[in-house]
Amino acid sequence: MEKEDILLTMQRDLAKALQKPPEKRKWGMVIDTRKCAGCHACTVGCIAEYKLPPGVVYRPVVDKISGTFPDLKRSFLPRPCFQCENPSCVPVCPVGATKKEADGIVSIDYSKCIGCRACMANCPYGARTFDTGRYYTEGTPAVQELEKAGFYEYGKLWRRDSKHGDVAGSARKCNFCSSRVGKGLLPICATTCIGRATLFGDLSDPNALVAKTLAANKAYRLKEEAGTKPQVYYI
Amino acid sequence: MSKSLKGIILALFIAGLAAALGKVFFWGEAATNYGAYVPWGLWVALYIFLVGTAAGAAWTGIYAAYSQGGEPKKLTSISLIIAGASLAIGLAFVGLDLGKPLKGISIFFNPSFSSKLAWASWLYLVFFGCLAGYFFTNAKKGFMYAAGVVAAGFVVAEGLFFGSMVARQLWNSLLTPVSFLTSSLAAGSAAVLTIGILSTEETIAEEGVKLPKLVMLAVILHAGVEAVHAVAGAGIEARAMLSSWIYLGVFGLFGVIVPLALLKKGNRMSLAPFALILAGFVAYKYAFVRYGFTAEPLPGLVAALQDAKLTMSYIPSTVEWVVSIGMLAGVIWIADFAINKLTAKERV
Repeated sequence: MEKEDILLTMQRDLAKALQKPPEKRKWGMVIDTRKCAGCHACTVGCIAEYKLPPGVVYRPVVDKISGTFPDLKRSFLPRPCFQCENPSCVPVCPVGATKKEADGIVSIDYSKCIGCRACMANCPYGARTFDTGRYYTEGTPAVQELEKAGFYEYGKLWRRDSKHGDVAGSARKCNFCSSRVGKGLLPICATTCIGRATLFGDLSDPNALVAKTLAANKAYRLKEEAGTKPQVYYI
Repeated sequence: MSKSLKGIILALFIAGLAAALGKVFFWGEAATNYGAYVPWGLWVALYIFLVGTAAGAAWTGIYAAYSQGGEPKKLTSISLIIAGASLAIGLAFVGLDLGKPLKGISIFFNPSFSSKLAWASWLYLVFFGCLAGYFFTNAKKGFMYAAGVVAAGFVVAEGLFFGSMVARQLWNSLLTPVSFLTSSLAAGSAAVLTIGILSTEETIAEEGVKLPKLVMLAVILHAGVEAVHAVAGAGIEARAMLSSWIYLGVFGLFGVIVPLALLKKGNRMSLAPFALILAGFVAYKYAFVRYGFTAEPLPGLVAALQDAKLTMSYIPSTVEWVVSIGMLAGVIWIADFAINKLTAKERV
């Protein structure tokens, strides 16, 4: 059993990584599927953090049943954006709205995105969803203010208070909570995980928990054949 | 074209325009049925169909000039009018398909040339420049050839854009740009004959005698490319497309076999075979786009969160259909209008 909650360890790793210039960091995740209970707390936490509208999800949890009856095995696979080292979504964007940042995060500039969805078509993992401008409380006497409240992504405050604003009509995806991380906070999925299955940190620091866990286990990445080099590893 | 037919076409065009404006300013994406896992549908299919048709019509115009001694005559002008109308409406489709249609123009001010779509967009502009040069200067021959070269450029750019998509097994092939070229020639030449027969039958009879043969060759060429695709095509997406009624029935039977049979046996200047080819190639492009999104990105992803926009199913919405039919009618109406102006000017 760990000596302390791994959130504290990752918090210290994060503070250390933030001392380095962005280009020296390599944010990554290790998801230990053996610890994932399929509670969807990460999915819900993320939806709450970013006030995600209907049809937009950054981190769904895939329910997998393998084997043949009666020898069945049920497992869960949380699927964030993989912040690929060679992201296939970036070169197809015709306006440069999506790009690979120095610290490895694949970002979307909502003010530039025209909503062509080429990035969505070329993501092998279905990690991008489309903000169609809907609200959960649409059709009721009033769209609730909480759905229009601001949220922080990519270090900026965004508002979703108009169907003709910057955010509605854009492709959206997980960004490893880049705004939270920039302020020294762990991604919301890591903090809400009741099984502590999601590890986050600087993969370039061999002493970081995320890198040590990766080195100590036989990890795998999804769809390696696509050549995108995801920065999310599964155990 | 009879007055009543013109009236019906104009009414459809107006209805399509009205629905398009409704989508842009009022209903937004709620009026469409594409979503996260099937992000493109009917409008993108019509966009690539019309862009290809524009290119094919331009090449048909060059062929018409070449077959009449090298100088562009009336049929070349008609072909280039059809090319311009097709491209304009094709771009309207892709503009409407955007999540932010009013921002689409930024592709010209803030392009990222790592995307072949940006290259294609700039080439569309150059193509319109070539058409302007052809119709409003005396350097008709030069601009005619330039238009043909630029058209080849944007068709290849579009083909490479789709062909290089690693996430789409159906498209991710060197055959994709080849099929874009062959389908463009088939659709473009068929469009020149369809609209030409509707609008100015006498010109087609005078100058377009060799065109039906060109159409037949182009359709056979494309069918050949598709046969290679069928043999080489592996995976769930290719299998789904190749066994669909849209592909086999509408494209294969009504877009290839029936019109080729009609052209072989019957009157080569009748409207039916060329109109059937056009309908068949619309179906082909739709199947190409739609079945590119057959496979779930990750097994179980759709079931992970329930929402109408997070499914693998896609059937075009009523608004998508109304806009599509209306705007396609718009290509005919605009082309017919411009051809009549051209003909009237020549009579004066």
